[in-house]
Amino acid sequence: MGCALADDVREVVSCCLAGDQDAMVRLVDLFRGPVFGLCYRMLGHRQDAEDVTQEVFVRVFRSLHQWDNQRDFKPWLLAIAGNRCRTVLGQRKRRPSPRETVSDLPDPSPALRDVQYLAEEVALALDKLREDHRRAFLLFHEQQLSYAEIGEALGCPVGTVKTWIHRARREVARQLIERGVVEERNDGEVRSV
Amino acid sequence: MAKFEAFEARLNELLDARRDPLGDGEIVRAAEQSSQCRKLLAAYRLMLEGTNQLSRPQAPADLSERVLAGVAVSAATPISGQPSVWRRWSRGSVIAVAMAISAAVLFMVLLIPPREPQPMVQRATPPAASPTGVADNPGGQESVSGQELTGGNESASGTHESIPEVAVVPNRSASESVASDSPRSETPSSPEVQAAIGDLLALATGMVVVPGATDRSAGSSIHVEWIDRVGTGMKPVTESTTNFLDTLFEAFPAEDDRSS
Repeated sequence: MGCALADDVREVVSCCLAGDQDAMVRLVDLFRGPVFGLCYRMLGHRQDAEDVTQEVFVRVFRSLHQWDNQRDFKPWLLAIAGNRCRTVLGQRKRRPSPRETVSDLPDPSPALRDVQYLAEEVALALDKLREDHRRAFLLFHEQQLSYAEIGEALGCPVGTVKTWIHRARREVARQLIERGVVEERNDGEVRSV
Repeated sequence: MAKFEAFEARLNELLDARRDPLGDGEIVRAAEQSSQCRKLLAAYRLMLEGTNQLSRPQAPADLSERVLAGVAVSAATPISGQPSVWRRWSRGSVIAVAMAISAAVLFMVLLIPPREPQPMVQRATPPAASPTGVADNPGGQESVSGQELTGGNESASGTHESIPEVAVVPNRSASESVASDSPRSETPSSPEVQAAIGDLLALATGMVVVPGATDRSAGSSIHVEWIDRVGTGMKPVTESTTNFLDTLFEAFPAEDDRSS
């Protein structure tokens, strides 16, 4: 099987190390989703996320020989992406940039039945979370990363990631209840408004 | 309350395992019995549903091309921001040379003999109206000779009885003052230079000058020996610096030298 069609990451990486450009494209295609998702959720800005994703892959190819092929590739890749995002966030603290946030959401009303509105309510609740809690929550529930991968990406222990996600869930649920998105009818059935 | 916390913990366990809470009998039973648990379960389900409906960011379509272009560019150019080994070494050597020259110049400044010492004299008591005292200090200057500072070395002149109490600042002994009156020695290890270095070092280090600390005539030779050792140890440095300056002056003569 050629490098461009290889499914085994180790095989693709070895082809990349040999200078095969098709294998490099293959590696990017395999991991573009998780890397871009992580960058977007950490940076909150699409253009920044695109730039950082590109930079992460360039750095990965330059330091690919340092990867220990006895370990999983994805956590190593996400750790690089997370480090790069933290660097950009540190630079952004000195030079604030606009953040794409959900704003001007409508107040909850009985007409709020569409799933789009539910997504907006959840987004609003997520936006009120602590930043590290929100990142961990989204990486787990949206990007479907494991606790270990999130820990590698955010640079913290798995136990901390677990605590953050549990707190994020509790806080989002509390806000949904407070905003009336969840209401209990008189007959005891719980439904979404 | 404990039951509600256990319910929430169990709910988190299921979500951590990416399992549907409604498929767990324990959760369903607790939700049927408690409205609080039921409400929390509904909130968690709505939270997951809303999260799944969040707009998922898609990576740019041309990401692979951009990455390959970036790899090609980065392979062609060295990593910026990190100075090369040669540049780091050259920067370090320039700093080291500058520090060495500064140290040498500073040491030479310390070795230059001070000017004629003008010790300040404080008269503890008004001077006696002695005609001989006026004669000894005809200009009315407050600087007096070393013999005067001793409070009257009668064996030397026998004419200083009219100056009963005199305090000197800085603390200079009679022998130092006598030496300062004598023709200046150009050798770095002369007592005068050593005394000046001692005073400067004491001033620089903030040490309190103890009266008599630099008084060799009083027998406190520890300080002097220390200065002698330093002077001997630094002699190669001073000589090399002097040679360097001589070479420099020869290479770049002054305007007057050129015209002559």
